[in-house]
Amino acid sequence: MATYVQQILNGVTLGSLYALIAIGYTMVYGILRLINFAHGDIFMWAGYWVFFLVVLFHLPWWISAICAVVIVGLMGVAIERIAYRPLREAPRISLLITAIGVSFLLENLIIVLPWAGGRQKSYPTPSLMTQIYTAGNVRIQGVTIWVPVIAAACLLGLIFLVYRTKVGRAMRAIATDIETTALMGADINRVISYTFLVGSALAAVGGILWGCRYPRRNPWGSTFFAINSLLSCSAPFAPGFPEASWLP
Amino acid sequence: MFSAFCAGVSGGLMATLIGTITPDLFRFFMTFYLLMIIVLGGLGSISGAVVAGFIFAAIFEALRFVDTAVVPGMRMVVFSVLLILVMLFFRRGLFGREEFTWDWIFQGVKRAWRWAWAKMS
Repeated sequence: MATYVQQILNGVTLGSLYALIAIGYTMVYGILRLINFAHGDIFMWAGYWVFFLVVLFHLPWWISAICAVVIVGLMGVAIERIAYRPLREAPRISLLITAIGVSFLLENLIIVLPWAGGRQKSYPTPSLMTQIYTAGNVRIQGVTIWVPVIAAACLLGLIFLVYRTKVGRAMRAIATDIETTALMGADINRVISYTFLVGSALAAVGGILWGCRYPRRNPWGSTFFAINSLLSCSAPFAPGFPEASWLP
Repeated sequence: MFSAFCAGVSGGLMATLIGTITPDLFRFFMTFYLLMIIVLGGLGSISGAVVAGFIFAAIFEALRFVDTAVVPGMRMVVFSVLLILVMLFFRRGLFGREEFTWDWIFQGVKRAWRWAWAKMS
């Protein structure tokens, strides 16, 4: 019985992490019809930013986590601005290639940076996350409880953003038909920048929590992992159903 | 069938070149590389893909000096930046839908010849 409870909790934790990352994928896919290969590396960079801020700048964990979310969100916006926006009118496949290029760049940048390198690093984790709670035979790590809670809070925030704000309405409109939305006078580029900001920030939250759950960081494999999350969480909703793909 | 034939030939040759085979030889990165080669050569251009394949391999090896000169791993950084830049400025690929044929070369030579002739006279 205790095993079942523990495994179910593990599954819920892993599922919420996947959801956090897959949301960014579907948001970008819904709007640009682009599989953003750089998303997995964005996720990986979030963990590295926490690592940098804690180890190099000696900031407290919580502050560095919040800073990492902001920085990674801005990184997403910058990637869109540099690599995707000039190709808005180009065939989709060229966008895909720049996405792969950005993904390679981000991965290898981590390897080149002298403070990170290709070797695995241990990830700083606050005591709240590593603390172990016991109830009968069930032993639960703090992170197992906190991850679903934080993920649910983030996704509720996202639902509010998408369904109750002006930007969210513009996002849904663009997901349905980008040209008509442009004709209606919405600022397409601004809305797409917001989408990348929100998607990357959610991926950053996922990446930071993933680091707490599995406290080691290496630059490889994040693309595979992100593709996993894409396949498991968002693929069933994606084709031809832009509205449904928004639902977490 | 023909495309599978080509892939089979290249797979067999690659196995003899490398000397070992594993089921995960052609995983993600190989697919990525092939995609890049095809798009860089120009979608729908067969000779473009061939030429881009050679260019791709050449650049890949030519950049090895960066690895030794700066930091190991720098090569891939430079390479990905080059890839992004090429994609941004040659968005239809190097060849577009054109083919690299003898006709094309002869036309080019003829045109150059005529241009030179006109200049001289």
